[in-house]
Amino acid sequence: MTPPGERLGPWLARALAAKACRIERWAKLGGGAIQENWAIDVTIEGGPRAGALALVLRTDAPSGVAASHSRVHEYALLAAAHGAGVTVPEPLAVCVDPGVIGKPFYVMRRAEGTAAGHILTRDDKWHGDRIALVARLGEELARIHSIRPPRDDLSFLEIPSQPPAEAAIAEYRAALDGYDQPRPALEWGLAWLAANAPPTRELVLCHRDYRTGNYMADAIGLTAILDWEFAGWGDPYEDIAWFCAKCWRFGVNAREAGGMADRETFFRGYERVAGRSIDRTAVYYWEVMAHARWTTIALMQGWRHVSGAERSLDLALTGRRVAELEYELLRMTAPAPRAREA
Amino acid sequence: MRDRPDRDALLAIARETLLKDLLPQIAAEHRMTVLMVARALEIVGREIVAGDAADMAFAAGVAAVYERALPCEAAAFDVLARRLAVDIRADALTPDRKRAVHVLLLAEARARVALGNPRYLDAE
Repeated sequence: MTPPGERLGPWLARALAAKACRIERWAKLGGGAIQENWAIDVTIEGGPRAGALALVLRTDAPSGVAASHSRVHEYALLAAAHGAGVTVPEPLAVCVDPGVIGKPFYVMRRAEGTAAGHILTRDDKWHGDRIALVARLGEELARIHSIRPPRDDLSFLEIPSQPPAEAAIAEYRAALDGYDQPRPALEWGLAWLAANAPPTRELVLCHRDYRTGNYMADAIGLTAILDWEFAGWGDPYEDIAWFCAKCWRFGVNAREAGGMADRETFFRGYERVAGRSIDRTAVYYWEVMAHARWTTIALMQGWRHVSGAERSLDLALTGRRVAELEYELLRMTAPAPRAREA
Repeated sequence: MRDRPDRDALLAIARETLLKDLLPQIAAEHRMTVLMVARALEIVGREIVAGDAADMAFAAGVAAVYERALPCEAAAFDVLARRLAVDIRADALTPDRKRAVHVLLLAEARARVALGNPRYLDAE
């Protein structure tokens, strides 16, 4: 996006039921190869939101592939989460008219703080009370999972036709079939997952990337749950386990809930809001799944570099993380020892 | 006669120069990239020292599982590894073979971690 043009202010004024909207400052935010984020400070005249407002405008990056509806869907997800009481940046308005900035976009309130995992797990000044933050993150996840199908506002999300675990295993095996090297370690993990799948008792809205690194906190505590682009209907244990999986603790392994606190604190927060207890065995299963998923993603990211599709040192090094992910996957799925002969 | 410093020492001084001399002068937004370059050099350095011992041990292990002679060509090894992957997916291994395969895969993965990120193993 070129800097917001003269049409954005009047459009925002209309969308926010204001008399006028003056753009005071705008700056492109870092990160995101598929999305583009702009910090925009505006002054609103008249209407329910009169005064200064700090916004983020989110749109597709120039290289984004035919994803003209995805930002609209993301807005719907954010609105559904906001409606369920989840701490997300308040979604304010969505625009599909290409005449305003040249492509669809939405605006939301700007959350403050940091999302950087290596900072949050190591520097206590960023989040107030770490234990309280993790309990809160458990509560927030339960609120996300209170969103259930069917929902007219989320009708673009496909309702899975097979159990979520089965679907995930099939997806990762298909990815492996398209890969040019045999990966017996990942196959081992997937075979264990196929043999040990617990039933999915309920379908809920899963965030699908709920982890340290994807929420923002400031000196007081949580300010926003971010990155909703993978959300979909699924098994709630997928999110619970993804948050606790060793691969998302940023090296602070003793704090099993996202490198931030013990997992029971997280579970208790979830249980308090969900009103039902967490099956620890199911969490273990889905933690194995988390490692299988991350291994598959890391293989594919490494392949993007190796194949020449996108040469990048970051992708190349992500490809090299496969070793520790496969190692963990194998450690979690040891076969039963040989029964002692009578 | 080989020229000196040898390849390990040359790589080590390149990495040292990058981290000690260049990194302090690099702007904050590029520091992560420099650290990634240093990490890549570190991995390559360890792999040069280790040679192909881990690959050979894994190849011998896979050959033993299938009671075959150790393949001496990389392509033949790839065929065995592919068969292993296919058999695991099809659940075609006996319980004894499964246990042997798990031990083999775990040792191989651990050896790769020791080269790629040995600090990961320190935390065990």
